[in-house]
Amino acid sequence: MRIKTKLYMGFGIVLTVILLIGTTVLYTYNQQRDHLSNVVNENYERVKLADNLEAYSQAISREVRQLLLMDLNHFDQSVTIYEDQKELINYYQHSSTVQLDLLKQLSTNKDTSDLIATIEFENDQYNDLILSIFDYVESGNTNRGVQELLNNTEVRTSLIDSINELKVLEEHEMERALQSSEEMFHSALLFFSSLIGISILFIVGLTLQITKSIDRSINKVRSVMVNIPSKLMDQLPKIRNIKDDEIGDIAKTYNVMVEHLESIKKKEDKLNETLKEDNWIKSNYAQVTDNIQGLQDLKKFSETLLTSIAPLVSASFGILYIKDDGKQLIKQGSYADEYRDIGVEKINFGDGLVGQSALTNRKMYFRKLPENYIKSSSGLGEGVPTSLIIIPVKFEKGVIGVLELAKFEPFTRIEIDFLEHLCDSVGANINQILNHLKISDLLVESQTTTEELQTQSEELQQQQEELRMINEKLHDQYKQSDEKTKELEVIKKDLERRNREIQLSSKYKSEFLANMSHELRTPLNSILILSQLLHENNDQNLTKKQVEHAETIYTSGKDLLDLINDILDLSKIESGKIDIYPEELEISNVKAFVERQFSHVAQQKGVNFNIKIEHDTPSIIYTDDQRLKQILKNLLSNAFKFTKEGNVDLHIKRGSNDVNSKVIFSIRDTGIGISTEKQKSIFEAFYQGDGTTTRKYGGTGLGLSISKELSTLLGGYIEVESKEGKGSSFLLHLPDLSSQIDEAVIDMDEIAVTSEEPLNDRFDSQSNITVIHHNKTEKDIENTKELLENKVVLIVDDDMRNVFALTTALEMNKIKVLFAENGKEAIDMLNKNPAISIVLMDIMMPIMDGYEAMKKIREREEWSDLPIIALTAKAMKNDREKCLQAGASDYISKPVDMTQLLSLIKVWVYK
Amino acid sequence: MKKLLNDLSINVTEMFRDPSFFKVFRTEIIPILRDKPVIRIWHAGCSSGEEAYSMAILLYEEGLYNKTRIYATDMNEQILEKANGGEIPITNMQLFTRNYQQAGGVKEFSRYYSVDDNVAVIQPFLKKNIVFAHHNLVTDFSFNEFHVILCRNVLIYFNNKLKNRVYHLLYNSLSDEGFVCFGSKETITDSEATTFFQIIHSREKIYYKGKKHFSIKEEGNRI
Repeated sequence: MRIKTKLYMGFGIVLTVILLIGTTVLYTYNQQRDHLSNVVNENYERVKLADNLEAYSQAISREVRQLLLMDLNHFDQSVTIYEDQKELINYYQHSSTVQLDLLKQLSTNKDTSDLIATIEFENDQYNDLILSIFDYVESGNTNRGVQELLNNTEVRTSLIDSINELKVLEEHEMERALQSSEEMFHSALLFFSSLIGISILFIVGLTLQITKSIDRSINKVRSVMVNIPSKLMDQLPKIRNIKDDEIGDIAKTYNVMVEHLESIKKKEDKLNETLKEDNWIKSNYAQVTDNIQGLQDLKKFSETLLTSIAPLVSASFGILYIKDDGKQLIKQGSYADEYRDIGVEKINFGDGLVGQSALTNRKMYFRKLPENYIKSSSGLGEGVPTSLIIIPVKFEKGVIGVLELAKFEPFTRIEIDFLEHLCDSVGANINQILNHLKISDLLVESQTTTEELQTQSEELQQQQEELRMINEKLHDQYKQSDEKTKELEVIKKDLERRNREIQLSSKYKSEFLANMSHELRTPLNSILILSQLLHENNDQNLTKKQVEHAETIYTSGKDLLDLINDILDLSKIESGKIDIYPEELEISNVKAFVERQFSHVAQQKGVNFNIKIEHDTPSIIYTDDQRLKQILKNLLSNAFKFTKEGNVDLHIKRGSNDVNSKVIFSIRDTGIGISTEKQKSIFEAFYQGDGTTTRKYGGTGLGLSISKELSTLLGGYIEVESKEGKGSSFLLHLPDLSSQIDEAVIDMDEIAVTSEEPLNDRFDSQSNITVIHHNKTEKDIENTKELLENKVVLIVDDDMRNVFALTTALEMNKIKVLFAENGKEAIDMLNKNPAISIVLMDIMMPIMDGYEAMKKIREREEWSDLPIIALTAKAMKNDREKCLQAGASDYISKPVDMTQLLSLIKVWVYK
Repeated sequence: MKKLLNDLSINVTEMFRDPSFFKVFRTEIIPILRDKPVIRIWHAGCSSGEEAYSMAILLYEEGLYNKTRIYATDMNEQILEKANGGEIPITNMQLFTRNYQQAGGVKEFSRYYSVDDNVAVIQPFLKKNIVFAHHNLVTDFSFNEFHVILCRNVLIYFNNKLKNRVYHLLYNSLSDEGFVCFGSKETITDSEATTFFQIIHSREKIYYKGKKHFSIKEEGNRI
């Protein structure tokens, strides 16, 4: 049973006993109190009532006597007194009746009740007697009343006796009750005493029992614990026969603790052992490292190491190999080889056990060596070692040497650990020694180098000195040259000034030439147009001879025009007065143009003319149509000029990746060719192959210069390849002209350029008449004629060539043509001819120019709707706006395209 | 039925109508189109093609015509035939010439046509990159993605519901960063179109489809 349960039970019993005693005490006390109250309340009351009753009876008898006595003495006043006396007696009578009733109520046993009934009867009798006495008194017969009273004394006496009898009875009763309660109290006291006595005995017994039981368990455990020996911890006593209570728990815990203590003890022992070994290893290791400390020679180091180790492990042989620069182990020291050299001097990695150990970085241990393996001797004799150990000496994860030891007994584990530990750390020492050796070598080397450097430094100092002197000289020279530079600056400025003057005069010259073009070409063009018209002989009124003459005039004029054009072109290019108007140009269009131009020439000269367009050539190029054609014409003309037989090829292909080359036009001929030294100069102005060439082949020699300049203007360039006598080939590279260039060109100086070259083109290209395109059918022309018939056109132009050309063409469409040489004349003409339906107005005219003329015309109300077509130079973009501002209805640029002009006229004359 | 449609559809057009529009287009929109490898333009409701030819001329003068494809569509097939013929009554040509001049033409207008009988025939080279095709803005759907759409003076005859349909159609047919141009007299401010497009030229009604903010120079009273 557990201690807790025992304690609970003991205290429970004690508590129950106390409760029992308490209850009994309370009960007894209660009973006692009931008893006493009974005595006091009932018996004592009855006694008191009986006393009262007796007192009243006595009082009645006394008053009655008083009454009877009074009547005799004082009769006069007797009525009043008598009444009072009677009243008093009645009161006493009534009180005794009340006392009787109370007694009747209180009486509990039969004896008293019977007695009370007797008393009541006797009381009634007495009262009747009193009444009869009163009757006698009132009737004045007092004596009789006295008689009556004296006769009946026994009534009163029996009443008093009965009352006394009751009193005695009641007093007896009271006495008895008191006696019984006394007895009860005594018996209760006895019961208490015995109960308390029993309880005390029982509780003491129980307490003793529990204490004893607990004490026994604790003693058992304590006795075991006391027996724990102070030193022998590995075999501790354990508690057997464990009870299942709290002490039992403690015992169990104690057993577990004992087990732990035992295991700790075992571990501690083991640790002590290891510590001892470690200590041995460490102290020996310290001793060895102390011995080898500071040794810088490899041999000495090895010998010292072996002599330190061998006795410690009781080895009879020992060798230390150390790695050289390559993969070889060299024997550096040995132990116990007094009279002979033991061991091999050099071992390769991987050779034999030592080599293998070094290669694999593993120790090797052999316990039973064969008898003739090695012999160890002393002065007394010799023997064969039985154990051999080979350990690699490690350094930074590599092997730096190998230690080999032999011994008569087997190596113990501690010895092997010691050796391994040593070999792990001794590597650093070896490495240090090796490094030291290397550093010593290097030191010697560097000392030598330092000496050399010192010598060189001295030499350099010498050279520096020399250089400084040279520098000083140079400084002087620099000052001189600076002065010269300043002089040159002055000269340069002078030259620049002169250059500007020259440029200016050149510009004047070019401008003069450019302006001359108009003057030169206007008459020449007129000669050409008119001679052409004559040559055609439309009216059939010239003789054959005359027609031939006209043709000669035309051809000579044309040659002259070409020459002038070339000179002027060049001068214009040089003076920067050529404008470029890029537009979309189809390559096929170029091909058609070239074919038209030269197939004819080729036929005449009997030369093959081939045009080829590569399939990957871009179909469109954005460039100046006219300039491109001009270049091609020049190049092809040259090719045909210098080729008597063979081929002239035009080869159009995709350009190189160069930005400036989108399309390449290659012109190859089989003509006379150009010598290498002259290839450079052919592009210079006024140059021909040699002086004689001009005479032989004709031409101005300006064609190539112009072409080169133009190609540059178009953003491209020309290349030439040629062999004298074999032919030449010219390559024209052209890019797309960007719109920026376009605008830049438009912004350039605007100068009046009349339409020289283009008209010229038409003379060249078609031998047909001037300006009309011939792609129109006859029917078209007929229609046109109908629309335009009898319309009157006023041409205002001071250039007779234009006037003639236009007149001719318009008249062929049955238009009536009037002309005026300037604005003033035009206005006069309009005044005279109200039938004029349209005006073609040139701009640059003497006296009154086109702008002014148009303004003047528009001022007049009747001419406000008159169509005026301005003839502008193609170059003049701003001219157009100016024309429109001046009042022109539309404009057309020169050279005039006749179809376009006719359409225009039709639109504007349409009503 | 065809004849009825022909009569009903309104075919009033000019070359270079509203010259100021073409001037703005030339100075402000062309530089943006110049870098594109191919330019696709749609004339929605091209009528007799004058506007498409005008655009061809403008692009030709700017050196862009060769990489441009113009799609000119109309619901009226008869008028498409006429447009394809490229014949313009000679009576209109004086007006068109003036328009051309005001629109900032840099060459001669007379280079682009030749007169035959009483009609001016558009030069064939201007036709080569124009496709005339039938397309009804009310019933048909998007057929390509364009850099520029011109829908000028077409929607004035439509009610609001139809207009909104067309705006959707145009929006879906426009490439990102593309332009749509309406007639100068048209008001589209009250419609959904304002949510699709960014207005970049309020006078010429040029709109832009794209997220980045875009604006072009707008001068007052150019003409």
